[in-house]
Amino acid sequence: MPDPRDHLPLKPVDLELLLALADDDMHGYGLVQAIAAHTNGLVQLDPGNLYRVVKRLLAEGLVAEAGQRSAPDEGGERRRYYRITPLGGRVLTAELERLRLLVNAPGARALARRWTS
Amino acid sequence: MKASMLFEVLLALFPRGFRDAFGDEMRTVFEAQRRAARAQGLRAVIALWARTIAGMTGAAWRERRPARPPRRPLVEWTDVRYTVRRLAATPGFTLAAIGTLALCIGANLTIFAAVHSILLRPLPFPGADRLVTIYNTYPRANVPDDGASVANYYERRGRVAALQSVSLYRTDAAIVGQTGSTEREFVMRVSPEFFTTLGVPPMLGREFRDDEMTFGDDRVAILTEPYWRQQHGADPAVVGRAIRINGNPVRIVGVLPAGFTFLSSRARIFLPLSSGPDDRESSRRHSGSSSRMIARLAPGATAASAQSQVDAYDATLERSNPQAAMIAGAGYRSVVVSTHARHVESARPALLVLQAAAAALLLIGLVNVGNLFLVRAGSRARELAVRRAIGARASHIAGAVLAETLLLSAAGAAAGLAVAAGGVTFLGRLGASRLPLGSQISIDGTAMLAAAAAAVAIGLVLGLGIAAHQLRSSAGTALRADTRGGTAGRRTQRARYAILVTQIALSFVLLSGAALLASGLQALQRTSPGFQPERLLTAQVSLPWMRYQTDASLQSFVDRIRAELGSVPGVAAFGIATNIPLSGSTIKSAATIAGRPLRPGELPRANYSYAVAGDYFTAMRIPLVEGRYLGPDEIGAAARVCVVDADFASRAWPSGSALGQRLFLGGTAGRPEEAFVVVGVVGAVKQAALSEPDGAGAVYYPYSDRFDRSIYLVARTTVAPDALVADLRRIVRGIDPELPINNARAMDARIDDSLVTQRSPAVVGVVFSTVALLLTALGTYGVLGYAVAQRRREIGVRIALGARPAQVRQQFVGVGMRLLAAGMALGLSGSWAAERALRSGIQGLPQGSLGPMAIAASVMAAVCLAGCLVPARRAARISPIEALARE
Repeated sequence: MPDPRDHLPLKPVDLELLLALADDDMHGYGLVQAIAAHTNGLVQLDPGNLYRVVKRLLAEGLVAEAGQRSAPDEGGERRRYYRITPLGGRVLTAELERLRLLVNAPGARALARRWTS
Repeated sequence: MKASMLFEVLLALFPRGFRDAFGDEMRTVFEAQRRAARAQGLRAVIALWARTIAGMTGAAWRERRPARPPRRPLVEWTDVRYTVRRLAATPGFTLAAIGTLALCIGANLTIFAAVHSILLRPLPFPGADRLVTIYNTYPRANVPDDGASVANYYERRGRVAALQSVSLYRTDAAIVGQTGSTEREFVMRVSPEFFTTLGVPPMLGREFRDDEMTFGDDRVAILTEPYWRQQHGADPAVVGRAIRINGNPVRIVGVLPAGFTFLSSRARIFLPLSSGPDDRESSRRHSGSSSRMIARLAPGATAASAQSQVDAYDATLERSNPQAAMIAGAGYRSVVVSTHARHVESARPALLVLQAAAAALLLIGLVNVGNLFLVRAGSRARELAVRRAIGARASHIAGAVLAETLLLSAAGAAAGLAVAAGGVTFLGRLGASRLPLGSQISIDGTAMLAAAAAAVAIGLVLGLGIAAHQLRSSAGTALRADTRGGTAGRRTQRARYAILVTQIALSFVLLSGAALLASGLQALQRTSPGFQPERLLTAQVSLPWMRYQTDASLQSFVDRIRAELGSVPGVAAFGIATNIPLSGSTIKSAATIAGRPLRPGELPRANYSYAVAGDYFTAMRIPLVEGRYLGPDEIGAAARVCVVDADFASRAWPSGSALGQRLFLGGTAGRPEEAFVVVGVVGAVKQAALSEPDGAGAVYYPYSDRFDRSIYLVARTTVAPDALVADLRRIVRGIDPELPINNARAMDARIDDSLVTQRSPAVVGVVFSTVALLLTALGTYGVLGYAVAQRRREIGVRIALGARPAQVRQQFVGVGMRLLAAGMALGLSGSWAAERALRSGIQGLPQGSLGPMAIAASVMAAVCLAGCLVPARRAARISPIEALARE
């Protein structure tokens, strides 16, 4: 079984994308919207960069295609959906754990207190 | 589902495989994004496109990158690297070239910053090119610009089709604040449509209204943004609040947007330009006034069409004027002219002269750098010849040269920006901020762009010139010519000489121009203003109408201040006048000579008029020609006496004495008992500027006969004038705690300020020509030094055959002098043209130009001689054995 830690640390966009897919399978525009919403509009992906990330995550086996379905909105147009793979799930968990340790480190907490007060 | 063409183009940037895999999906996503953006409006759509274009091109580039092998460096890049290495290997050459270019580009940028900020940049109003100034001129009465009257304004507004809106303004000062903490502020009084005319409505509140333009109903104010920020803490609820101005409560009705400045005005508060009904009557149309008219041209109208309409309208108005003949005789006309052009008119000639001088300096610098290249090209001629022989193409060699010159000029321009930053500070020291719009001189984006353009242009010109020369001279002869070690190629030598001659000619033009300007400035500084300006303290006080309504109150203020200042140690004499020389006010009025009605066709001539009190003449040390000064106590109607200046006396009473003669104030004779008796004649003073020609004439009346609320205090001091400012302020506050004194300064400083349009060109001209001389000296040294080095062998042979060192020396000095003579001959015609241009633009230049020209010629000769003496002596010291053995 491949070691999820080989994939760490994740790039911020990769993390966002995996997080979005962890909730539910999504099509491309759904991902753009979910990431924008999760980052308060800070990250607005254009199609080019979105699919570069998708292509990479597909190649690394963190994400897989989930077949075509018709979207509930937009007049039933058929779109390709993506889902997170088991490996993707483990990598995401490992990354979140890494971030949790980072954020909870005593030094980080002290720093946060200093700069927010 | 169709995405737009542009998106397809962006998509096409991606590698085919990527497109096949994701193209359709990308289109779908983009379509969804576009729909969402459209729902949010145009801004969202634009933002989406910006994001998509940037993102997609970046993504496509990154997507393609690994597919390609690492990129080979560009051919140009090797050129650049090679050039940098070579430039680094010859630091002397590189530094000299960059330094020269930096100085010359910096000088140009400095002047360009001023030219751009003052002459070129449109005024900061929307449609600023449609703003015109309309002023009354009476050239034959010696009044070139009399502004525009309140009557003009009420008559013209809405009645001239070519003018979309007409407004009037007047600069003023007011006392703002509560008793004990008053401040003097510059204010501007404006008519209601002033801000509409400019196209800048208030940011808060409203403009003035028509019903606020009458005395008594005018207690409203509009604040500028800085004043609002400073004094009212940027409170948005300030509209409706009251402030005290000149002792009255005044309601704030508006706040102007940030960054609003009107021409060179320092006003921070705007008040209504109020008037009484009689001010608006047609009889007051020509009652000279300090107000000025600004108008906005209607769409489609031009200044010329507005001019003809104003002319026609004025003509119909003047038909009912009883004094029409006199007015017409004075050459009256209302001139319509671009507001910007009119405002900066006084600075234009000096700036253009300086820009021309800077351009000449740049040419000299370029010639010098070109020369440096030629000298070096000589030593590289063989390298080039070899390169060509083994098959380098001309374009390649030209490319290498261009890379070098562009690199040097870019570095020069970058350093030039730094020089220009210093230069702008230097201009400020010279008093450039007192030029119209002069406080706005800065190195801005346009100047940077100009620097970049200059760098490219200079690099190209230099590079192409040098490349052409090298290619021609390396066409086969270089290999042979140099191996023989004889004289340098004739063509190269001739090119060098031609360059040097050009340089000498240009420097000579610059130098003689600067010498002319400097001698003009010197002559002006030696011009007597007609009084003694040393140790003379001057200050201005405006007595507000509220507290000084009666003549008696004005008189008592004057009496008290005289009494108190008289007892201050350090004050030798003290006087009061309604205007003083070089105050900036050049308003004239008329005086009518008793018993001498104007002959038909004769025009009343305007003269300066002053109302004085105290020991004004003694304090100013204006010399008495005959009779007596006005006594310190000539008060009241009984003393209807006056003093005239020598110019006035000789014009009014050309034969016989002025003493005992009588004159009336104003353009018509009054009742006999209103006449003023001339009791004295004094020397003329310069009122407008030291360069003012004599002859306007002046009449001095007792203050008690011509009260005015704006007065100047002048004190002859026995100590440094500035030391007494505090005493003066204390005394004035002691008499009236609400009264600030303005502009307290020594008279010398006023005179200094008045010379700014003469001083800046002179000083900058001297700086420029010094740099030009230095460059020329270097150029001479370089050209002759190189000639000597090239002809080492020949000289060695000649010395071996018995030539004396003195002969060798003379030979090279002779070459230098011949070049000097040729350059100066060329330069003479140039300086003749330059002199004509200078005289047409700058006032107060001395008549003869031989003196400055001779100075320029001798300095030039000395510099060139110095430049060629060193190489000539080196030539004379050449040892024949060494010279011959070296080859």
